[in-house]
Amino acid sequence: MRLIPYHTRLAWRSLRRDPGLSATIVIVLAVAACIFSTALIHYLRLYGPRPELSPGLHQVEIGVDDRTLRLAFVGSTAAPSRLAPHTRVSFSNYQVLAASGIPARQMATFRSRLWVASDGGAAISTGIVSSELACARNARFVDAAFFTMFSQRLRWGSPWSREDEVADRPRVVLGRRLNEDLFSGDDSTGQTVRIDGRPYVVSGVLADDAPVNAEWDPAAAGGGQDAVYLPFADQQRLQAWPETPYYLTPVGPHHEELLKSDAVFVTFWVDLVTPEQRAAYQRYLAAELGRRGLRYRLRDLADWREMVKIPPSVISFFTLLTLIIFAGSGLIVARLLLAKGLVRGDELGVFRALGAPRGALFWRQIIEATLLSAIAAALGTLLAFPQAAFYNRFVRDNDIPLRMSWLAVALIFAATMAVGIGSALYPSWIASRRRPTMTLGRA
Amino acid sequence: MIDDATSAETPMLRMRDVRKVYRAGLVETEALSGATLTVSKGEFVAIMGPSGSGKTTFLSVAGLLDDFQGGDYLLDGEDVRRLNDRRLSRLRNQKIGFIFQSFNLIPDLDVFDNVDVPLRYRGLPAADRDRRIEETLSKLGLVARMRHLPGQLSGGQQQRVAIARALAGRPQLLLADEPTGNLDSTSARQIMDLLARINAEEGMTIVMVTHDHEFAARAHRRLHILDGTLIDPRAVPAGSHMPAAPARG
Repeated sequence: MRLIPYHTRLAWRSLRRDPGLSATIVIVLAVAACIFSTALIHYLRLYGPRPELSPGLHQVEIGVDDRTLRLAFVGSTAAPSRLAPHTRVSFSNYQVLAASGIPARQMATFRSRLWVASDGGAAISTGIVSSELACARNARFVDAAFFTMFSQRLRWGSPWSREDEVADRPRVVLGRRLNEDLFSGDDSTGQTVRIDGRPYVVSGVLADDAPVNAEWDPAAAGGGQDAVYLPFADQQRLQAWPETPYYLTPVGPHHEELLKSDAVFVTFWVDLVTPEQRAAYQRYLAAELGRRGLRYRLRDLADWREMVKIPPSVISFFTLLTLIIFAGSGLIVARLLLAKGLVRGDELGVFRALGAPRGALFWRQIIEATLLSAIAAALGTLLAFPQAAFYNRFVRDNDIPLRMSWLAVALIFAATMAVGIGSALYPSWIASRRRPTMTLGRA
Repeated sequence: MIDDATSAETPMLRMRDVRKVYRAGLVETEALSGATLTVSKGEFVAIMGPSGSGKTTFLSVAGLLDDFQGGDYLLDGEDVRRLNDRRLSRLRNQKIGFIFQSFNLIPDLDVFDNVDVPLRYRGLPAADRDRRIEETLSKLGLVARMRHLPGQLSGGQQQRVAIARALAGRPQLLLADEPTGNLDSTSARQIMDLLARINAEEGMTIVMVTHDHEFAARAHRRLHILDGTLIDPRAVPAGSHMPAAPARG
């Protein structure tokens, strides 16, 4: 241990002595790390860790007859989503659920398509519809509790409050990307946006894009980012039709008729933090729903995640493949380090003659490989950022962009270090086993 | 075979019937065939012999840089055959100093750091190391060159740095492999004066391999090595054949 600083200094000198060889090793590892990073961040986008949420979160399911469900689109004959009856309730049933007063927190949500523009008629800057004043965007209606119940991080400002909801103040939270489109990514809190022509004050801006596996609404999973978040009650003011309602029976053309219908489109979550709350809520459901002969179920978060599992994807295979290629680059590095050890044989022989045991020389070589790997890991990780940006701009397979999270950075760095150090084990062992007489005799 | 232990105290080096065989595929070469030698503490021994006679192999075995196949070797009374690499390295670091024909300085370490190498593996505190290095460099007239790289020094100066490196650890045994082989005659003489002085003033045991009869004559004892066998000329009967003195270099 006491020799680590000394060996680090010697290793650093050694790297500078063979700059070409050192640079080659670094580039081989960094390029491999960069290739690996592409597959890795795809993988993490799909299967990455999910946020810690309250264990008391439950979703209320009210059973409907799958055979009678019809897709919202006129003339569609497609079968309804398998998840639809498990994740949505009708507006009238939502009103029953929301009136319990039992959960610590509760929230309802559905998604619509609304026209969104910056105030004053400024054109949206993305160029998607640059000649128009507004674009149709995904607008999500949520209760204020949504942001805390689902751990949504805000970059600027805060969500609207319960008081704002009660006072019917027009408040809105922007998604990260809409904020970039309308306000060039600057802090837009306090600014006004127009939604279906009505002014709304921006109270906050989300920090992240929604995850692929958004718990709050599986219909939004896998893409179709929500651009703007509005108070749930505003769906009546805006006469907003849900993006994909499922009808049991025909519904008239007016919004009021939708709300009174048995169409299902609201996802409803409650946070029941104590066993007493859970028991009380079960009794409430039995009284209000069971009495009417409705099938219902209180599904906890673990059950929910099991039900809406992300299906297997080819990205797992490609991640493994790039990791194997990465490990293969370790073989090239191992050969380069063997060559380096050969070139440095005389010096290692002198160190042996002066009293350095084999173990010390082995660790000295490993330290040198660690330095090289750390440089390569830093370079590979840095390269991964512009590569992800390039992918998002020019390739883009999904509405949810690739993102270099801290976890991705840590994994890329750790994998590069592991490959670099692993590839140095054999060359270091060989170097430390060299007979000093051979090298000194040749010298 | 020379076993000339005259002192009652533990000899610095005692070899008996040491064999060293190099193997390359099916070919075996016996570089040392039953070397027997005792060197007392404070003795200055010169070993001469033609190229390929086993001089360097003898120094490698004596310096614990290489193993051997048969016989016994006691270094300062310690049986080296029983020691593992870590113990051998410690013994080499603490008791033996090496001087090589081609100096073997680390090219990108300056004089101070070159001399520091064996002390680092000794585990001495920084202040002790600094003091020892400065003392040794001062003794060898190299203080002004402390921050020079080996490439900025003459051959004689480089060899003096190598000697400083060997001495800084205050070893009991100095093994010198043709220490003047790469030097001009003036520098070579200065280096020999230095070695003789170290032996006389500090009582350090020196075993030196050389081709040069003049320098060998400055040792207390001269031995010859031929085909891996050590021969003491004093023990050779008159009229017997002795190897001709090879040319220097």
